[in-house]
Amino acid sequence: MTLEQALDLVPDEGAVLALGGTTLYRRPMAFRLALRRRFIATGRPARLTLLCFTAGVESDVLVGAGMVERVRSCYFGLEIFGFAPSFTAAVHAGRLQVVEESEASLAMGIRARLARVGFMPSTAWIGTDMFVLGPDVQTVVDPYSGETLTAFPAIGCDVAVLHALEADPEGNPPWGAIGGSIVSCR
Amino acid sequence: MIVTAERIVPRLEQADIIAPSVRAVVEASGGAWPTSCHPLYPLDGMALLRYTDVAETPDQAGLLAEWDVGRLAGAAG
Repeated sequence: MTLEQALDLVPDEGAVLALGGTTLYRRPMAFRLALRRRFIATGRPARLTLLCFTAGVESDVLVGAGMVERVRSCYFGLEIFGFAPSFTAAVHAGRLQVVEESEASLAMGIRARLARVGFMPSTAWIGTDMFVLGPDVQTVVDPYSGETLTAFPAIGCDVAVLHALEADPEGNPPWGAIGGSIVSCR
Repeated sequence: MIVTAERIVPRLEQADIIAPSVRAVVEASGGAWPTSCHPLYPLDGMALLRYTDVAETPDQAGLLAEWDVGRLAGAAG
């Protein structure tokens, strides 16, 4: 399939897009730049939600194009190169919603989606103020022990994109070729 | 899921993401640049520094137009 054909898999409005790689390592840049070109030419896809473990330059170019409505991530920046400029500008201007995630909330949310249940109970976040930053996350009482647990809501995406060293024509990439990627497509 | 890959190879005997979960495979040599793609190429720090210099300025569009051309052209620039 060509890159242009793959872009057609991203819904026009409000898609949740999950991103492979980590911060500045093995990000699907060619795909993101092609997506940005299409948005500039056609205005689509618009109002994206970006879902990633740690967002970097691949997300910043999309935010800078004005095609992102919301970001769900643990981190958004360029590591030793500093803040992500377009992300910082968009947040200061109130143009971007940020959903504060943690390793636990992403991992548990994806686990819930894979298990096809609405939430995943966990001891993570208990005793912290993370519930103030993430008011959509609630607690639940364990019916067996009575313990209060965090009920991390399921997290899914419309399209996940990752970059691999190699893949065969049917789409079988080996693990060593995709390290560091999150995969959470519903 | 969409997988972009540095190269498309003959049928692999071992895989950790299996084909039924993949809707599209796209060959994209240099497809992670300017981020790293170990062990083929490292992070291009100079390209990142240029990005932080021009992002949110009128020069950003020109830099990203260069990036659109791809890794080899970008590295040469």
